[in-house]
Amino acid sequence: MNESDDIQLLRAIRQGDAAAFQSLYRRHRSGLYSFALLHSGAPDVAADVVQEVFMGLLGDSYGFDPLKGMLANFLYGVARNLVLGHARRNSRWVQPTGADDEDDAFDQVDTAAGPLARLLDDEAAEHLRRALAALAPHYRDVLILFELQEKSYQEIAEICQLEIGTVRSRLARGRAALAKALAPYRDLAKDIA
Amino acid sequence: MNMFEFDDGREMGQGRAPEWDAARRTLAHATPPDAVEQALLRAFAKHHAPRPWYRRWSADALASWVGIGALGCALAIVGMSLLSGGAPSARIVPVMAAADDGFVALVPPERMAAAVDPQLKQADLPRAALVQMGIPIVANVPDELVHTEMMVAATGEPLAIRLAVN
Repeated sequence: MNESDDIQLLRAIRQGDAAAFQSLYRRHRSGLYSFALLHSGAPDVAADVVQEVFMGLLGDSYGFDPLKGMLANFLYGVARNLVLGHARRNSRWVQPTGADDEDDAFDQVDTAAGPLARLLDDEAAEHLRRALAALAPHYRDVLILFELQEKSYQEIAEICQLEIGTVRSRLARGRAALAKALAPYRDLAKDIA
Repeated sequence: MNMFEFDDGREMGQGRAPEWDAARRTLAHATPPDAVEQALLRAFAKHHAPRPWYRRWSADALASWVGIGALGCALAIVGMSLLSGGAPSARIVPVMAAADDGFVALVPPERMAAAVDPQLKQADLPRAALVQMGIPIVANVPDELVHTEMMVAATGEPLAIRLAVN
């Protein structure tokens, strides 16, 4: 995504251009929603987070400064804080859940894939969500941004307000913890196979 | 690598868990519900709605307009004073012309210059008459006589007048 396009859209938004606001929203909504969805495991929380991010941008309540970094990373930083705020207010999303009460969390699928592939992807993604929910939020942040959003160490450091060394260490520990949390699901899949 | 830095796992052969690829495919087209976009666009329209004129008169706007008005008034006053200074009234011109010797001309300069053998005469005149001639004198007691010196032409025509020093 081109940062200069984002800045131009922001300028147009401040002049009251609704189409620019819609374009900016559509550029970033999917990434932010995926991040919030995987982080919280709850589609309604993810939707709320995306809405709050853009409401804040609309009211300029977060004070984005283009000289301090990219808009996309700034939006991820705001989304992260909002997700963590939701998690603090309702701890059920940071605890591992064995229940099937949120099986529809990943109902967005790639329609080009076959039915079986989609089913397997959904199942694996759900396992990932449950394993991530078992991790501490500060490991979840770094893992999702690195593995799903493919952000660099530098970008993650900017989003999470961390030193790069801390990003590296959290990523290594998070990956180890995630592998441990995924192990039961993988064993189950092997048994079924 | 610095001994205090941590590896992200890939260099240790851990690689990305296949579940991440599945999640990426599953979430590739994930978007918030359309209601979110609609709510945001409504909020945008409300945020940028044109305000009625009486709301636009905020305290700041009012203060700036008052400032502009005050500045305009000051400029107008200065301009008027400059204009009046640049074009002195008919009463003040003779006073200024004769300011060197204290005389106030009572006739145009060309008649003054054409006068033959003028003479200086003493005269006591009422304050009101002196004010009418353009002498800068207070006329609070109009009938009070003031001692003056008059320059008179040979024909008896008064040419100029000044207050006499007693």
